Amino acid sequence: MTTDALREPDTPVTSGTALPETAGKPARARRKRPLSLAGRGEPYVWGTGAGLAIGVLMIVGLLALVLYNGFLTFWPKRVVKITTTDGKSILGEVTRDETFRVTPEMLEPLSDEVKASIRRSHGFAHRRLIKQGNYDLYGDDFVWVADYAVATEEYPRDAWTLERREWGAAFGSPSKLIVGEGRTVEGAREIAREFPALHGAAIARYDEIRDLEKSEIGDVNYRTEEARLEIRRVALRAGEGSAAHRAAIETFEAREGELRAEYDAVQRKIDEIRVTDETVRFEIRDVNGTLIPQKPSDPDTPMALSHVVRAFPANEIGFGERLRIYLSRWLEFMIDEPREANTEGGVFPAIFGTFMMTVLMSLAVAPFGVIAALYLREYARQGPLVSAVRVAVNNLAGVPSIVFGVFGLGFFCYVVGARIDELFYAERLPSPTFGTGGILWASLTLALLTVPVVIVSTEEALSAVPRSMREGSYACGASRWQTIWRIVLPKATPGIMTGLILAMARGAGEVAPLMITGVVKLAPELPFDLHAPFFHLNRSFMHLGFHIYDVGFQSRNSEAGKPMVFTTTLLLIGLIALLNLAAIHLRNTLRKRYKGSEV
Amino acid sequence: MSSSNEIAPVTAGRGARRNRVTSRRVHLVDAVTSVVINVGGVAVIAAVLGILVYLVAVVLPLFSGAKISPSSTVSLGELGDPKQFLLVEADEYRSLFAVIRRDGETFFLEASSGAVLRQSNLFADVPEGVSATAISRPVDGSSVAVGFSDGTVRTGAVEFVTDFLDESSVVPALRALEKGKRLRFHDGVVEHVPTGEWRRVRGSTKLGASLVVADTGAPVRLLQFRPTDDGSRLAAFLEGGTLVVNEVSERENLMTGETVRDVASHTVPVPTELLASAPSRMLFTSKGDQLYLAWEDGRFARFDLRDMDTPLLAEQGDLVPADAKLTALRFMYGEQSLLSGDSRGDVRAWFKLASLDDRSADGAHLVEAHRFSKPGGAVSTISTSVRDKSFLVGRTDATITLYHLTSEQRLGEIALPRGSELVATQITPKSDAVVALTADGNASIWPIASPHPETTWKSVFRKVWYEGYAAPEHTWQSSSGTDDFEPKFGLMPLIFGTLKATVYSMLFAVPVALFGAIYTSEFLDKRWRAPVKSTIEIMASLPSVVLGFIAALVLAPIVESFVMAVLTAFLFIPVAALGAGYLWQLLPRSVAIRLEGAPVVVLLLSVVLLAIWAGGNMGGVVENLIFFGDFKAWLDGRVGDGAPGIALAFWPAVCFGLLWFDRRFLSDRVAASVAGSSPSRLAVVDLLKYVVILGVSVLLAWLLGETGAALGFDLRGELFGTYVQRNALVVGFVIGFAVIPIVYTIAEDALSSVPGTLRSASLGCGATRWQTATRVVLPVATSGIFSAVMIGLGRAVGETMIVLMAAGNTALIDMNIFNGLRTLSANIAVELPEAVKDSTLYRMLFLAALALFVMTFVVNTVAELVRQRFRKRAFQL
Repeated sequence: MTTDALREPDTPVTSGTALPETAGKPARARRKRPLSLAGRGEPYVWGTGAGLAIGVLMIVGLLALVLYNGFLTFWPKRVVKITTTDGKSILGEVTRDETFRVTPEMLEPLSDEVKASIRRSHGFAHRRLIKQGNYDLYGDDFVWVADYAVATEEYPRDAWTLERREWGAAFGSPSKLIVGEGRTVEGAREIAREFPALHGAAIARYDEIRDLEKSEIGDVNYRTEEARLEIRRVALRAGEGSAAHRAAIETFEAREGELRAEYDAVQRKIDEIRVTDETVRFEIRDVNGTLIPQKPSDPDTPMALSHVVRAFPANEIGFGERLRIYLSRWLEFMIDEPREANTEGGVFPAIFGTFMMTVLMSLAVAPFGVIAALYLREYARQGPLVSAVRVAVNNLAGVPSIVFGVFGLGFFCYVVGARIDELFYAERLPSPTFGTGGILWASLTLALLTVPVVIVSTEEALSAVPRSMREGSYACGASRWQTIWRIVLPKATPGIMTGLILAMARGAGEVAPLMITGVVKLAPELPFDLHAPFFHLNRSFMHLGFHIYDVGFQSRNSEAGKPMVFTTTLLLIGLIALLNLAAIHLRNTLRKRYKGSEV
Repeated sequence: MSSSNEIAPVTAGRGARRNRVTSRRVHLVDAVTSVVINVGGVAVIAAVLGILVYLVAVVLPLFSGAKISPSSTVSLGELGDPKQFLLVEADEYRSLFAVIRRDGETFFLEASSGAVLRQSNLFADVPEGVSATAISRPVDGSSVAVGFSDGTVRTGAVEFVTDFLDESSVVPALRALEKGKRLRFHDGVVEHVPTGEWRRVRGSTKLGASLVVADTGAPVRLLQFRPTDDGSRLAAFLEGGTLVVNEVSERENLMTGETVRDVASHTVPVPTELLASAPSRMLFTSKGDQLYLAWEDGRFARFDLRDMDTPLLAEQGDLVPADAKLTALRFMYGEQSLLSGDSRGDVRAWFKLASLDDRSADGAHLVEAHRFSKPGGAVSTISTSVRDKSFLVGRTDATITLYHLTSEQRLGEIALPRGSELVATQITPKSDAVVALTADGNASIWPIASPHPETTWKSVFRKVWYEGYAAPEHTWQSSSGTDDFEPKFGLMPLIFGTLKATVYSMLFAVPVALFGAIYTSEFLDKRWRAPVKSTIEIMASLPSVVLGFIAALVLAPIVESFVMAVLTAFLFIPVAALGAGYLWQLLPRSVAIRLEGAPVVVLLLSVVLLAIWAGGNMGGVVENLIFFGDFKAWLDGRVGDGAPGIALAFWPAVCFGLLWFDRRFLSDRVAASVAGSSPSRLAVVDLLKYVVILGVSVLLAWLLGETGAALGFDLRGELFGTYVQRNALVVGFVIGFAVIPIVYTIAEDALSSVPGTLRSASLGCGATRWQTATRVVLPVATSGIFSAVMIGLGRAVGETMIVLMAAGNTALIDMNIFNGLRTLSANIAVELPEAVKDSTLYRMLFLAALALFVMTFVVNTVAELVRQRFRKRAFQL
């Protein structure tokens, strides 16, 4: 074998043979040794080096891009006011800038001077993307401003940045705070001083309304639905029109009355708060002096203060205030629910969904993966068949994830799920309970996808346990299971854990199979709540990876969603990096342990 | 593990010590766990491998034909001679038969028993002595038009009325009916349907006032009737050769509530030479813009009636061969294709296609697209499905054959008792049964199940001639807005898209990854290996959805604005890296050795960055210089000729050719001529040689381009073409992102597991590091590297999110690197959520998944086998 490998170079190659030739006769050859530099192949070495450099630069560049954009998204930017040469005023944040090719149509109306300067730079010019917000007023929240079109540029002191519950961001100058009972606050300084306290109170009211709506009204609705299903259940069991059925209907009607009364009481409470809330309003005007209303259909009513999520005079605040806003935006992002078709607000449901799905997947994949590996390594008779199975299992790790998704949808949702529905949830038919995509099926699909990873790594960990330890155990009279349970498995645990964590990292980053087995863009409810049985495994869920896809590609304006996508990406990459680091750490621990036991 | 069977369960003591007995619990636990692990292990592995079995099980029904169940037959003989029936038909639930006799007597019979449920005379108002001479029944299934011997036409309805009984009218007899069973109930048939309701089907008839088609009073010989949104159109061919087309519009008078009928009558002139014999058949499209007359000898004439005031005889021709007779003529559902049956038993499907020559007066002509042959008997009836492109052909050899038009598939055949003569056939409206009436009065119903008639192995993987297409093509188009849309399930565009994405990504990823791996394991300073390796391993853990997002929203717009700059940068990188190597040689050896390590790494990175920067800046210049100032305009074919494209595509090949030429013929002579010079002079000579070769290669490529263009070659439309923002270039680059770390890691492992002794031996013999790497290490690691590439290939084939987001998802067969594509995996992700379970689309997507599964499984298995061989080999070393 060795000679084979070494003989290959002996095939006639014309250049570069100088050095081996001379090696045999050092004395005479000294003078004419460097016949050619081809043998050193320095340029080719550099060529291969370029390959490595490209790879490293790609990953570094990509990480830098994500980190830069992800971390910068929430930093409160200054607000610029630009007056263009054709007399328009634009107020907003600079989102990004670029060099672009000026098309003939754009070039047409420009002055000769500008044309000449563009021609000098090969037909390119520089422009900035201004986020002007106020989507309800302008119908477009981003606008490109080329440098040659700028007449004046300033950072007005009275410019505020607003984040609203609807219609996205707004930029403008506040003119009045209407506090209620006829009191108003006017003047820039006074507004800035009074705003935090008033806004805090408004947010508290808003939160209270939302809490009542979500928890109490949600609870009443849930119980009403349960009671309604009970009738159906009785009808299925005892037959339609039977005595039991009629009794159930009567019970339901009584119950429904109670629930309705409960509902009305909560609703009254909500209405009361709402009345107070309506009186506190924030009057703010855009750069042209137009009032920014709460609803475009009612352009003369200023927005309620609780309609504002966050507002600040963007050019006035100092670093400390900026940092506070930055952190509060991150907090909102992590613990709040999405708004505005997912392009604003938080991603808590997605974080929760990703987390819960990964946990469910691990619960499924760990025992089965370990059992399969134990079987392959410790119990099965080693032979060509087991080797073939091993190769097949290994290769399944390379089968595209979407194939598993197809299987998951076809088998879990439509076969197993439909059967479960027939047996246990007949009262809900024809609307499916488990017979459609849901977090359980998505997790099981991912478990199938990652089980080969766990099997392979567990097998490796098992086979790395020294034979001497097993033999020692047997020699002491331990049974096979005792040996495995007390000696082999503890020794292999770090390896198994490594595989499991790698599987989790892979699972958390997969999107394609989830898209067809239960991930949705906006889940109305979390798969966990306070109604028995607490975990609702049939529910569809949100996922960070799918969130990226959805916000980046399905939303009204991908530009508006882009910052959100970058932060979500950062979060997802962070999560996966954390899992991978854990795996690497465990792998190192494992290696150290083996070093110790090899004696 | 071999020793596990020989556990010594008991003995531990010796001599005086007491014998200890293993407790029964230990035995029990051992036995139980053994069973659990054996069963569980086999079950898990079976479950994982069961995926393949399940996918196959879902896919297989696509390729089975129709299942025809045994028939139920009733005799209609007592109603009269079946040949004298104007119409025989079953409803969509197969509960009733409707029969219209030539004298207008109309019967509704129970399909299961033949009992008459309702009888009336449709022609009650028709004057004495006038008889029915023609009937037309449009596909929508309710209206009917009858032409009479006095030159009048009456329209009306013979229809099946379906309603659900309300609770009060369900009598006990019906209540006792099991679900799924039927019962005759008054003048209808009631079924207790599985959802719990009672469905009743009854017959109803009516015939409207007469419409005088022509004043001559000649009998109507051929009649075609089509209801439209605001009335109807009818075409009548009268004895004596008059062809009349009437547009009837009905509107309600708001004042009186009466229905007012407006008739616009047009006479279509038919050339007298055509009328030497009377036409035997007439067809009319629903829009009323095309009218076909056909004669028994197979001649046909097509009239273009788009402008009713100036009807045009657009085309004439033959529908059957010279020695055959036309025995049946019918439109396929959707009226895009015309089916003609002849006396030899052949059925031909004709598409009306735009003609390039002037063989017809309106720029379209009929083309024979499909043929269904069966020798033995003449075609007697053709009936079509209103759900899909299936049709039924009855032949005089007493067979009924079910075909599918597009897939040319023979779905099934029914053999009637020998000697029976077919009078009429029908595919029921739900396409779930075949109805046939024979001359002896027997009406039979065969339930059929043909869920996927449109797919065969051939229709999935070969070119298929779809309706309205000029030629057979590979097409994937699974859905559309209209009802009579024909889904096109050709997997080839998707497989092509998959391969296109794979090829372009591998073209980028393989060199980068392999060069990177070689450099890391052979040339990189040891201290830098670990950080570099883990940096690239981070790349492997990036979710593909992130890469897809970056590709589509960040890269694609940049590349779109600066295509030429990006391409130039790609070309500059190797040129600059090689150039840097030649410059490096200029350094004295002593200096160079001291700079190994960090400085080299930094230099490498800077060279690549510099090349990218220079390429980016030179893009505009290159564009002006060779692409006529506007690359995209050049791609569109708006400016310039093919020269720059050819030059660009062949430049790498020219470079390699020149390098070979240099090694084979030049380098020895150059080396001989400068023998004995100092290393620095040699380095200068080397550098000069490189510059010259580079210059010559550019010159040669340019010459090649000009020559090629002068000869009329142009790669635009093949490798290059119109620029689309989401294209294969971007997708290839970003899938490369996903593939590089895998290929890199495995290849690097293979290279570094080549025993150090081999390297030491080679270096010890005086070989340089480059010679050691290329001639000792690489050959040993070849199989490992091969398997790395194969595994990378597997990953590229199945990549979903990147292509879904960045490839534009256009299912085209187009090599153009600047155009989009749609892969199998992206197609599944897009279409599966909308696919109805067990529909053809659903199963086709499973087939796509199966194809992916098989492709990657084969590739990975090959890689794994090669790698095992490599391991053995490396181990032996």
